[in-house]
Amino acid sequence: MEQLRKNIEELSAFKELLAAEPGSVTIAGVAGSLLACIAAGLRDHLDRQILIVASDEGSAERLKDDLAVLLGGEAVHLFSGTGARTAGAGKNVPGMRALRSLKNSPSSVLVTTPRGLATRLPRPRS
Amino acid sequence: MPHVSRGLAVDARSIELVTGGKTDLAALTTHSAIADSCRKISWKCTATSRSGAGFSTSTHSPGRIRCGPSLPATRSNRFVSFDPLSQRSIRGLQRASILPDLLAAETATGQRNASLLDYADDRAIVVIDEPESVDAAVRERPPAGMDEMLTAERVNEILSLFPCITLRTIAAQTQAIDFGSRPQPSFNGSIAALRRDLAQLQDGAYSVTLACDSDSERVRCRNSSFDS
Repeated sequence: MEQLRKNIEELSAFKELLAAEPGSVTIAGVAGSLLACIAAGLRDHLDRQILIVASDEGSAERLKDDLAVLLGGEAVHLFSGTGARTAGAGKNVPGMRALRSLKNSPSSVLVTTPRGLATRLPRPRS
Repeated sequence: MPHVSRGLAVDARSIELVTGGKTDLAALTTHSAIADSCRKISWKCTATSRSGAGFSTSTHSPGRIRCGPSLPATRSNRFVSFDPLSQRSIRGLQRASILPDLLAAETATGQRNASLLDYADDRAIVVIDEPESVDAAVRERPPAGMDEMLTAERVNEILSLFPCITLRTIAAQTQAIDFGSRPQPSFNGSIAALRRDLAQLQDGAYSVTLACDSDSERVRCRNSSFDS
C-alpha cells in the first residue's frame, strides 16, 4: 500500500495539484480508489484537514473505507447527517465522533454526503 | 421551573435519578432534559394507582420510572427497563441518567444554524465530487426535513470560504488537472481478460500495482495467474 501511495504521489498531476494556488482547482480522470489516494497524499503533504463531499451515501462509504485502509480507521470519519437528531439513541455516535475529530484534530479526514454537508448543527463551542 | 428533588445535576439540563430517591413528578415532566429527550411522555395510572413515566434510555431497552400513588406525588423512585413490545419489566436499574437532546435544544433557541464546515479548521481543504450533483442533492430534500437542512445558498456561501478541489468526470469546458485514470474494466472473474488488460498496460509502459483485498488474495493472484 505504501508503494501504491508513493507511485501516486510521483504522478505529475499530483505534483501539479500540490503546487496549485489555493482556491478552486478542478481535477479530472480520477477513477476508482484514486480519489482516496489523492486525498491521503494531500493530507500528508499539506498537513491540513481534508473534507470530501461525495455525491451520494454509497460513494461516501466506499471512499471512507478506502481512506481507512490508507490512513488508518482512526484518522478518517464519515458524517452522513442521518440520525443527527436522535441524540441518546446511539445512532448519531459516529456523527458526533466525526464532528469531534474535525474540531480537535488539525489533520483529520472527513467524508460527507450532500445531506451531511447541509445538515443544520449547533454552533461549535470555541 | 421547579427544582427536581434528589436529582443530581450533571449539567444544567441533565438529571440523574437514583433508586430510592424522591422525585417531584410534576417538576420532572417539565424539566428541560425530559422535554428535550422524550418525544412522548406517557403516564400510566393503573387500578392500583401506580404511576410511571416512560422515557428513552441509552441502553437497548427503554426505561420506566415507577412512582406513585398519585400525581404530583413525591415518592421513592424505582427504575426498570422494559420490553416495549410486551411492556413487561426486564430488570431494575440502580440509577437513571436523563440527558437532553442538545441538538434539538439548540434548534429551539434558534442557534442551530451552523454547518459541518463550521467545525473544520480554517485551513481545511474541501474536495467536492461532481459539484453539480452535490448541489442538486442539497436542493432536493424531503419536505419533512426542511428545517433540519441549510439552504443550498447558505451551503454555497460557507463552501466559498474554503479552498476547494472539484472533481469532474467530464471537464471539457474547464481547465483541469487530468490524472488520466480510467475505471477498472469489468473482468467478470476472467483471469485471462485481466492478464490481457495488464499486458496492454505494460506494453504502454505503465507501471502496474495491484491492490488486493487480503493477503491470501495477493498470494493467489501472484501464484495462479501472473507468474505463469
